[in-house]
Amino acid sequence: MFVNILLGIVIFGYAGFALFNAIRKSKKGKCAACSLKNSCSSNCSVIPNQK
Amino acid sequence: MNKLEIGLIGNPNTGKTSLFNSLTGTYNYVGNWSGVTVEKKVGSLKEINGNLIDLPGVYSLNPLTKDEQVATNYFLNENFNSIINIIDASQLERNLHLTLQIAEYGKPFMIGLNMYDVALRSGMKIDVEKLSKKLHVPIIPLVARTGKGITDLLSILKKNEVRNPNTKLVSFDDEIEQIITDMMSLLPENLPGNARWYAVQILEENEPVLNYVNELVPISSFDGHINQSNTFVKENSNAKSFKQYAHQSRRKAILRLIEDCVIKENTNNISLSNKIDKIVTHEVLGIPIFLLLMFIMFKFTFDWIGTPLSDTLDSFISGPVTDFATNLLQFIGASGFIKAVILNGIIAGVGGVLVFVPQIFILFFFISLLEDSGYMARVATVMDVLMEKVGLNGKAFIPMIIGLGCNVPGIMAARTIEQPRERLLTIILTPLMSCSARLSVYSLFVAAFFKENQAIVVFSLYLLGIITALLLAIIFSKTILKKEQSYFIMELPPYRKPQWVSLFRSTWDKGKGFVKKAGTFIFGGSVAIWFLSYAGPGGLNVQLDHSYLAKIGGFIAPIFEPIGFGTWQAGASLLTGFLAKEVVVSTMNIIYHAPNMASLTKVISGAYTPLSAYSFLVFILLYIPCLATVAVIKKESGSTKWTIFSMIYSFVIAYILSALIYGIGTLLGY
Repeated sequence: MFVNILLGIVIFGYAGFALFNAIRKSKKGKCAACSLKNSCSSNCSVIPNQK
Repeated sequence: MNKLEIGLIGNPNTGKTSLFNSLTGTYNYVGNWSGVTVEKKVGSLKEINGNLIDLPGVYSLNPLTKDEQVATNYFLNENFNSIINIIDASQLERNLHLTLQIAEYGKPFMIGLNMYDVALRSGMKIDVEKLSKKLHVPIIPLVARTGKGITDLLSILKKNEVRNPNTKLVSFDDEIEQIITDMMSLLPENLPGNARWYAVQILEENEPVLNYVNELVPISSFDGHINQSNTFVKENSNAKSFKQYAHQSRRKAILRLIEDCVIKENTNNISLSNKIDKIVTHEVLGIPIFLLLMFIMFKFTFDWIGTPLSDTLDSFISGPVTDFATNLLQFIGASGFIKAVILNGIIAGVGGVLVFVPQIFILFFFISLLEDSGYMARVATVMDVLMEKVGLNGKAFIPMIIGLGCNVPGIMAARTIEQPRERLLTIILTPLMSCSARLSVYSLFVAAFFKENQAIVVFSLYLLGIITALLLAIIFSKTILKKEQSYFIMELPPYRKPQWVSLFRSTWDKGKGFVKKAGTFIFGGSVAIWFLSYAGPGGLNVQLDHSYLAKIGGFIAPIFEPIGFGTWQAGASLLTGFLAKEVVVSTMNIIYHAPNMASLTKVISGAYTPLSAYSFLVFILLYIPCLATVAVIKKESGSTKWTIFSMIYSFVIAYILSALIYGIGTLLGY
């Protein structure tokens, strides 16, 4: 019984976390998709729109 | 000691990103074509307390495009210590234009003379020491791809031997020099960089500089100088504007430098590249050759190597892995609920997507090979003629090719396009390029319905994506997105032997997202979808047809009836596929409760006919960009209107095409 509860919590907990995290990141778009995001500190500066 | 800040700047495709990776120990996307870096990127330097900033490739500090502005703004707004200017040694003349502008700016810098080997092979001998003396800055010959020269470069940085350059390499006529001196007296004193540089840039009407200076002194106070210099230039030279005049003056200085420091020897090496180019960029043969190469790529991915590997992986997951999990769950006394979520949810959903990893990596390997060898840049020039006819330019082809990996970086690469309307058009059409996530859905279906013709069917889908994009480009550019004509200049990089290490890295870099997503998003999605299929209004462990998933899928299913797949299963897969296209495969695995790919294949062949399967694949290809892509469209276009438009038009096109295919196919008796 204990094992079942533990497994249930781990599986659903991680699944919820992974989904939530991924959707949050997808919405962020470009920084989340960048290969350098871990070592990057520029925060992807905003470029002024071209006139 | 304070942290150093060093900028890395150079012309497009000179190897900045390769050098950036070696100097910082990170790995970043490298392609043998212009415009890979569209945003400045920061990395920590190895062995030195400092940051290295990778700036997008530019030909000049007077920017034309959005990504070029990043470099100029960096000079104006960031407080950097020094600059590494990377130069393609084999294209010295063109590259030195930027170098001279950096020298005029006057802050300490050094030069990395990259592709030194290519220059030597093509018969150019550069007297590095002499050139270094003339410019007053250290110059290190490099071969960034192999790492040759990197230690020398690091040691210069470490010992802080970067020096102030010679700012007086370019001189103008006396009258212009007088105007510049007058302007310098009007400029504020504590500008970062040399006042002369600002004066020259104002005369060149460099927009970011004008905006910057305008905040300190009204720019109108220089109107007289600008007019005076333009009049002088028109009367006394063959240039049409001061900008052109400055370019010519720099060119003169460059030719003097080259005459003093470069010895050219004749060799035959150059002609091989030209010979290949004559064939692959041929106006008639160019596109067929590209299509043939693409077809061979799919043959490898599906028929020759990919499918056998995927099958092996599949039997491993459905055999030993599932057996082990079943026994383990039995052993620890797991309940039916836990067994179901692990076996029918996670292993079915995540495993079902993972089996396509070999195919995806093989496809990426070939795309990387074509990029790294320099061929893709040729494809862009070949496509230019076609692209211009449809109202885009050849540059738009690069975001589209990158989009074949993942649409998100593809859309970001559209920043290299100067013309705002062309850029927007490229942004909204790039999602039609079939990305790797969609490949997993194709793999599943072609294995079930088109066993004998897998490569050709997938090839047809990719081609359909490209053709649809081109046709829509014609329609959009004639109606809602009318535009001015712009021109495409693409420099052809030299062909080079692919480096295995960088090839594998670049393949891994493209494909790793897919593997990572399987462990995170697909995992979460699979558990959620499984739960929706397990629970229903009647409670838990209901019949699948009475589950919440069936209710939700069934609600939208009637829409798809006319195009051949009006089942709740298809409806549910398409709905979940908006989050990420791979989820379509996970959903099907879970819904059809298939223990492995072979049996899933059998089940879905009962639910679809070959015709409705093809119609379904076409729909998957086009129907809606995934969530991450929608977010990036919003960010890059800066417009909610266009984001919604890109979702709606793709759905409409997908529906029309699927209906046509299904309708005509049915009439023909398939």
